[in-house]
Amino acid sequence: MIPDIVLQDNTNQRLPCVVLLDGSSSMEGSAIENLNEGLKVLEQQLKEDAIASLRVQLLLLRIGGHSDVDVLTDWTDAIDFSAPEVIANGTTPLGAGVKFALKKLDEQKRNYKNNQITYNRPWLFIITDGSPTDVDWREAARQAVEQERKGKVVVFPIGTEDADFDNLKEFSARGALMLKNLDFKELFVWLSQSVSAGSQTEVGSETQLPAISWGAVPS
Amino acid sequence: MIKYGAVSIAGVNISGAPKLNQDAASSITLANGAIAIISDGAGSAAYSNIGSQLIVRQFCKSYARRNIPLSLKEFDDVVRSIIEKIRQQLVRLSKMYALKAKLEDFHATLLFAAISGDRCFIAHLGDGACMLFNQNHEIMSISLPENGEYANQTHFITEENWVKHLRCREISGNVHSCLIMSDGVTPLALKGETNFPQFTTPLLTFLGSSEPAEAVKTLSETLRSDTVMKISSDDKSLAWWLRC
Repeated sequence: MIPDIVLQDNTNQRLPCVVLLDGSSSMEGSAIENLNEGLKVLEQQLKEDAIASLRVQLLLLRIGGHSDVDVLTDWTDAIDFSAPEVIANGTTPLGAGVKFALKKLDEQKRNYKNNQITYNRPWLFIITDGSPTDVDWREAARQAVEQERKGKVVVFPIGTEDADFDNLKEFSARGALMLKNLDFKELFVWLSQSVSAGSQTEVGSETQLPAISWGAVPS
Repeated sequence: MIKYGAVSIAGVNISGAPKLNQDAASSITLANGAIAIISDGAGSAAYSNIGSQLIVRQFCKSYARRNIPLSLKEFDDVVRSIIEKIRQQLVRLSKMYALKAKLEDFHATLLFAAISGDRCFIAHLGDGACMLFNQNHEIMSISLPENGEYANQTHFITEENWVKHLRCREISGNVHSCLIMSDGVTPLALKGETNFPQFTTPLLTFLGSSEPAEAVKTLSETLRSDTVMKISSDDKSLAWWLRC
C-alpha cells in the first residue's frame, strides 16, 4: 500500500427514488401490515449497504383518504431513512400520486443541478392493490410513459394479485409486475438491492437488476 | 529527468471476480518530455476494450512521430487528425475481422497529457480526470469529467459528434507533474470538482521517490485492494509523468 494515502469515497452522487404507496381502504388488514413490515426491511437493507446508504435518496408518498397524496417521507438519504407507518383508508388516486411524484422528481433534479450533484436516472415505484379512482389517471399514465420514453425516469408499476393490471400496465411501456402472496418483505429486499445496483451503475452501462423472487408478470 | 508510468486494473463483478478490463493506459517518453494516455471503454459496448487499446496504442505511436506542437492550435490539429485516423482504423478493423460492428460498438473515452520542455498540453473527451501539479504537489489545473445528464453517461471519441466534446488545452506555468485517471479512480482523487490532497499528495510523493517497477507494483496493489474495490468496482487506470 502507498504510505499515508487516504482511500475514501468522495463521490457526490445520488439516485433519486420515489416509492408511491397505495394506502386506500382495500389495503386494510394483512396487506397494510405486510407493507409496513416490508418498509422496515427496506430501511434495514439500505442502511446495511455502505454505498447505497449514501447515494440513494428516497421520497415516500401515500395515496388514500379523500383523493389525497401525502408525503410520508420527504427526500432523505437512505442512511437517514426511517420507515413510516402507512395507514389504510379512502380512495386510490393513482393519477394524482404519479403526477405529484413526477413533479417532485423534476424539483429534485433541479436541486441536484443547482448544487453540482451528479445523479442517476430517477426511479419511480408504484405499489397498489387496486385500480385508480381518480378521473384523469390516464393523463398521468401518459405523462409517465412519455417521461420514460424521454429517458427522464424509470417506472416500476407493481400490483398485488387483486390489482387491476390492465390499468396498471399503462403507467410504463414495460408493463407491470405482480406481487404474489403479499410478500412485501421480499419485494422491498429486491427494491433495496435494485436501487443499490442502480446507484453504482458504471459509466456507459445499464443497471443489471437482481432476479425477482417475489412476483411474476401478470397473465 | 522525467519519471513516468501507467497501471490499469480490471474491475470486479458482483461476486468479486475480475471482469474484462475495458480500460487501457500507457505512458512513454518523448524528446525532452513524456506523454500519458488513458482510454476507458464503455461497459455496454461490445468491443470497447478493442477501442480503448487501439486509441492508446495509436496515440502513443502517432504523437511520438510528429513534431512537438508549438501552439494550442497545432496541438488541437494533431489530436483531431489522430482521432480521425483511429476512427477510420476501427471501421477497417470491423470489416477485416467481420465483426459487423459499428463505431459505437468500440465506444471509448480519451485522456491525454503531454509535456515537452516547458509546454504542457492536454486533450480530454469524456469522463475521468486530468490533474496537473506544481513542484510542491499543489494543484494547478484539473480537466474534469464531462458526463451527460446522468452520472453513468459520458461521451466517446467513437460517437458522431465527438468534435463537440473534445477539450484541448495548454497549461501555462511550471507544470511539474501530471496524474490522469479513469472514472474508477476519480472518486478517490476528486472531491466534487476539487483536488483531494489526502490522496494525490502521498501518491505523487511515492511516485517521485520510487523505482518505476516498484511504483507500478505498489500502485496496482493499492487500486486492487478491497477498500478501493468497495468504493468503485469499475476498471481503474492511472497514468503519470513527473519531473525529477
